[in-house]
Amino acid sequence: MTGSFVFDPLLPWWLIIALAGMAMTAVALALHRGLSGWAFRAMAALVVVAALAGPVFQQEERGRLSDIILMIEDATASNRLGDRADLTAEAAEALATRIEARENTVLRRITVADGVDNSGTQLMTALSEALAQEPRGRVAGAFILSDGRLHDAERAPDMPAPLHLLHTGRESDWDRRIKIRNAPAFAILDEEVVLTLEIEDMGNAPSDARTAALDVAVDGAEPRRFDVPIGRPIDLPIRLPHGGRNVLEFHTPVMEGELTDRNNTAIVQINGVRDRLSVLLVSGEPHAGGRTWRNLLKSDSSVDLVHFTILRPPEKQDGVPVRELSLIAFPTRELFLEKIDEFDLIIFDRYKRRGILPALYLDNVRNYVEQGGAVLIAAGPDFASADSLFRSPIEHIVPGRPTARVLEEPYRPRVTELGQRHPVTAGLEAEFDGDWGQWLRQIEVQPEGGQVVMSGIDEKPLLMLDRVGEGRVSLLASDHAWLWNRGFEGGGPQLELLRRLAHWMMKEPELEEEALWAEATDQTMRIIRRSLSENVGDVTITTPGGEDVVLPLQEVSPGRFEALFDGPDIGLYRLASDTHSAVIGLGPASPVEFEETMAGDMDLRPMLEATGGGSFALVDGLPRLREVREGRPAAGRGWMGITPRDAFETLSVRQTALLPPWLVLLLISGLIIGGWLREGRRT
Amino acid sequence: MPFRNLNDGVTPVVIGGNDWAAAWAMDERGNPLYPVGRGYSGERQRELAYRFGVNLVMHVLTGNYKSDQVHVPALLNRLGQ
Repeated sequence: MTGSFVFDPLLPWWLIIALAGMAMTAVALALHRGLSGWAFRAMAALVVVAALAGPVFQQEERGRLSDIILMIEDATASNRLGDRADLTAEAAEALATRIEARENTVLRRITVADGVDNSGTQLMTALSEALAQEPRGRVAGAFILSDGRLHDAERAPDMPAPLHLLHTGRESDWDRRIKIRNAPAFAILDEEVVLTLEIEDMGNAPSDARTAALDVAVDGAEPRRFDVPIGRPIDLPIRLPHGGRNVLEFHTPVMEGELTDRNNTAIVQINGVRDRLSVLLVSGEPHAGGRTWRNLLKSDSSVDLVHFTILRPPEKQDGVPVRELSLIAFPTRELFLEKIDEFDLIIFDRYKRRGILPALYLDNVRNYVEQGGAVLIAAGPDFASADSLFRSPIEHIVPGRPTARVLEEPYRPRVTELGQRHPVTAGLEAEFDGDWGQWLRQIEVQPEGGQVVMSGIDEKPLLMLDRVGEGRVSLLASDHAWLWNRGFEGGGPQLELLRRLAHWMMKEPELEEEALWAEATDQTMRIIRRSLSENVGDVTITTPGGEDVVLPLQEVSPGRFEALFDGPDIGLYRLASDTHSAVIGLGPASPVEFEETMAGDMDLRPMLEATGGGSFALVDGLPRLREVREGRPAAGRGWMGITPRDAFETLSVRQTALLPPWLVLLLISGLIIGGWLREGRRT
Repeated sequence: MPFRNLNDGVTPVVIGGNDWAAAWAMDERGNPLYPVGRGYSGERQRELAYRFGVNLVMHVLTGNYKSDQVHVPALLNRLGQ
């Protein structure tokens, strides 16, 4: 219950003041002229002015409100290192007991867990949200029990009361970590990329260590160990071994007394991409399908196409003077002897022996394939003839022998059963709406090894793939693929087929027949095994902890087997199935929680200072609680302050007018009559 | 080139001031059906009309093959570097 005087004027203040002034002037005149009743008149004027000002006595009934204290407990991964979790829990209980023992104080406890999507410790977000739910005028203080490492300092709220940090750090804490400074997501094969990493010691590290061991493993292979200096960035030149995903694992051994081993390993995944692909296309003669090949290869901007069409064979002797011909020389020696290794793919499109390429050159082509090159033969009727490319040293690598029959009848190309499993032709039907158009010519060939993935008339092989040595050869026993391109009878998936064929030949990792890989989304990985055989063995997963898990693989579509696996830990998983192996890194390359593991007030200091709060190490024991006034320093040696807010709510208000109208009337009339009487009696 | 992007740079129509088709026309025995020019110079004209025809077919079958060839020496140069 509190009481106070307030005014509730009947007229505007200036008018009241003006009236008072006029009254005073009149009283002064009366005094000067010796009017005996002047005192009565002055008092009457005073009463009028006071009545106009309307004095009110106001009484309020107030309810006292409790102070609110926020306590934020950090339960993120970085505050669970070592004994930090226990330390935090103990301190939280002790502090809660003390706060609750205070009268008229309410404690709000908030627990902060790991942020989603590797966003780290969101302490300030939690504090802002908690503050938003409480009236600002009642918040008397806030305590953060944490390792002091937070990742949302920019979201710090404007605190109305002191903020204190009770951190879990120790003087003796130290940690060694690998920091990847820059890691490219993509790198061009056969070109060096530079990766910068640093081994850093944080905290109270043993000072005698100058170098640390660094194990580098590529794709889960046996690691190689290097000695690297600590605390200095190291440039690591890397040459990717293969296209597709390359997993590089860096690890430095865990030292005695380190806080955590979680940041001693870093996983970098770099996608290897090829530089420009060079393709040599040799068309034996101008024909309607020639442009199809060219367009396909030209449409891929990463392909450098060197194209030669034999427009005029050398045996042609018709007496035309050379100066009247405008022909481009075919630099056979340069192409087939000197620079053949530079090509990723050589396509012979309806090419036949014409005395242009001597046997020596074609033998070199065979060599080129055996050493890892790729040759695609798109056979026309020439392939069945006596001048066939087959009747040359290439014979040994071509997967089909021509029977010299050329079948000229309409047929619909089909994907064979094996082809359904082969990545080049698997799911080809789905790539095109409707029936495929027919082709009108097929060269009969006798398979000699290799895989028949498409067939034509009477199941005769149409598309054959084979591996020779380290290289690849394929034979398309028809030159009518262009009919699909031109939409003959509706056309067909010619672009997709030829694209996949060309990419398979150039060893794109995603078109390998036998492959094992995994795709990760968060902590779940989808393990995919592609195979030409009907049964594949189970997959063995080796977790980062060294455990082996064996999972069966389910066939989801022909030639594609899958399994799902939830990896509990962040880190490198090794997969093995049959003779194939793969590695995959789950989770972020370096979890943000483990980047900074030293506990302390480094991140929070400006916020603490702004509110007058302080930071205390929990290992030194819990500081005492003390009450301070607002705006005063709220922390000192061994104590931390809260500011009681004395907040209240008003339950009722009662107003009493001090000069009720009847009293005013009585006073004025009494005084005026008194003045009149006095003045009347004297005269 | 108005057809550059449409049809591999191959024009679908050729309009010229010369009667090439008449010069090409021949009967079953391979003899020309229509006379072209006079004497030796006429034969020369017929020869050039044939050559134009051959070139036209080559153009239709190979598209912009020839204009691509401009880049081949540069591509070959780049290889192996």
